[in-house]
Amino acid sequence: MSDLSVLIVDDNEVDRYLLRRQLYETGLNLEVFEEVDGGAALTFLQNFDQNSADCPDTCPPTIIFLDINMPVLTGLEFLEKFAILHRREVFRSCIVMMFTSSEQIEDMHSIERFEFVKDYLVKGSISAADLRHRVERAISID
Amino acid sequence: MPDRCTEIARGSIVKMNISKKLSIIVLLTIIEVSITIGAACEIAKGATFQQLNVLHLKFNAQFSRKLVDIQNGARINPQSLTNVVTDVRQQPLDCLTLVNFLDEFIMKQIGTHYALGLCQSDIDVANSALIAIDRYAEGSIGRSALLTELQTAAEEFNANSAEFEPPIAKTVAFILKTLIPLIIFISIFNIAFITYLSRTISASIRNAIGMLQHSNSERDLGDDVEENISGELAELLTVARQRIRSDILNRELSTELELEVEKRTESLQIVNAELAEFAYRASHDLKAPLSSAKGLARFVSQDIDAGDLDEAKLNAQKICIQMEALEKLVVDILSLARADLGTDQKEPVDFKILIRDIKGRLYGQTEDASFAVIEDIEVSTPLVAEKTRLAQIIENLVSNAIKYRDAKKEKPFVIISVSDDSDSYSLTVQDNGIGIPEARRSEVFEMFKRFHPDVGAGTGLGLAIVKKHVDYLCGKIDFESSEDGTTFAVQIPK
Ligand SMILES: Nc1ncnc2c1ncn2[C@@H]1O[C@H](COP(=O)(O)OP(=O)(O)OP(=O)(O)O)[C@@H](O)[C@H]1O
Ligand SMILES: [Mg+2]
Repeated sequence: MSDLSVLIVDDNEVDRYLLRRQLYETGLNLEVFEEVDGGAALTFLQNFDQNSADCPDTCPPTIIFLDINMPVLTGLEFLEKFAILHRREVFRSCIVMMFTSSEQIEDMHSIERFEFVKDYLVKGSISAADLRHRVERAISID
Repeated sequence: MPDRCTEIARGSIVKMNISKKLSIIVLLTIIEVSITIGAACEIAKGATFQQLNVLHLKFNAQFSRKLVDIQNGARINPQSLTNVVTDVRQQPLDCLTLVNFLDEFIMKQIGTHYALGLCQSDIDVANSALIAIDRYAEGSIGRSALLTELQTAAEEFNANSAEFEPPIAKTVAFILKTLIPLIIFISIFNIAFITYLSRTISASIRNAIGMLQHSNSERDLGDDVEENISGELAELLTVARQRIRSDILNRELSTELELEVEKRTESLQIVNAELAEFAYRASHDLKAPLSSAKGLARFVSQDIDAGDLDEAKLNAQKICIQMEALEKLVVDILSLARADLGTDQKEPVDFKILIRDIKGRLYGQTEDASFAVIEDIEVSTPLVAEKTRLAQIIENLVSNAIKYRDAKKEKPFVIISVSDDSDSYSLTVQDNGIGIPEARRSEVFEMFKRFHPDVGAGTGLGLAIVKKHVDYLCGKIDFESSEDGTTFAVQIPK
């Protein structure tokens, strides 16, 4: 049984692979889900919501790693939709960690208003030890 | 034709400058005032003459009394006698100095000039009396001779005095009778003429105002002024018109300039925003494959350490793909930048050869025997343009048709057709692929927009490059898309 479940939302397969491997490197006991864009991630979460009645053991992912530049539903669009979902009991404990290569300040400003966004990771710039530290801190803040 | 002449004369007065009219008014006033003053002086002079005559009579009486005393045996005092005679002589002298040319002229005309002769004879008599007194004092003549001399003098003086009165009175009366009506006449004339002039002045001003108020918009103000108004008013209106015109021109120019600046600023702002967006997206997309490759390379060495060579190989292949993507992105960005430049040589484009080359380059992707590339080229006059533009337009559209093919359809295809009519070339690329989602229609030609991220790799710059080229060639591009497929249509003017 895993301690934590996480969802990686990124259109780039290689980036998903890199994050997944880095998460394993941290040594944390994790269950990792992947989705290719904001829309798919939203559907995944909504399904979780519906299924939770049937299988009470599964819980929604604790951490969502979210890319910003994605087709269909961008990271920001996803956050806006997810903000509504987040008011529900099941998603209360969900937190989001942005995971993107854009270091643009505008992005930082536009995500500040979502209180469930706990951190901002820049792709390719953190070590496994760093990642573990940030994940632990994000969960404990929550 | 006296009427016409007065009309002309009046016309010439009406047309006269306002300043000339005003100077005539001033001149008339000066003449009137000087005539009045002159008349007043003449009348005052007449009064002086009367006074002098009275004085003359008084001194005559003194002289007569002295003479009676001497005849009665009084002692002769030459000095006192000389004084009395000198006094008597003084008034006719004064009279003659007062008289001027004009007086003499008038007196001659009305026959009172002889009064001046009386004065002169008085002076002459007085002078000879004085000489007799002097000679008596010297002793050259005796008492009786002197007495006779003085006796005649006294008689002359009295006679002259009596005669002097009437002509002077007549002259004064004449002056009063003639000058006063003259003054009245001149004044009336002046008043009438000045009124008339001021009327013509205000009439021409009113005329100008009326003309400006009811000016016919089709007629030029300049012509109106030239025809109806003259003198300073015309000058004033012409200058004012020029001034107003240049003011309006200036204002028009400055508003035009402002508009132009606004327009430029706006387009600059748009370009700036586009550039910022581009830099953002480009840097993001350039950095992504680089950092991925870096991470993958690290895992490759970890995998080798762990002895998991299969995973290492997989990751190395992934690195390769990342590098290919990076290379394609850099090439696309370069094409995009060059699309704005237009540096290549223009030449007649042979679409058949162009498409053959493109097919060769895309061969790797169409190997699949079931994918058909069909061409239908019918061009009467060859298009003269930079070959690379046309090549990039067609290659991007065709590569999309291949990349976004629909696996569910039995026979995936792309039809490239090129034709021309009298004024344009038309190029269509039609496929039976998966189509473009209708909701994203407006974003199709934007940079970095991709709607099927799960289908193959791509930069999202292909259609942006196509659009840039089409814009450069002053053409149009549009598309139709559904689940049955997509058709891009390009029109390039001849
Ligand atoms: N013929 C087509 N059928 C279906 N979708 C298309 C077609 N052409 C373009 N698209 C959609 O439009 C998007 C933008 O196309 P574009 O050519 O600009 O980028 P790309 O193909 O993704 O990348 P690149 O051409 O730079 O490799 C594509 O990602 C795809 O989703
Ligand atoms: Mg493309």
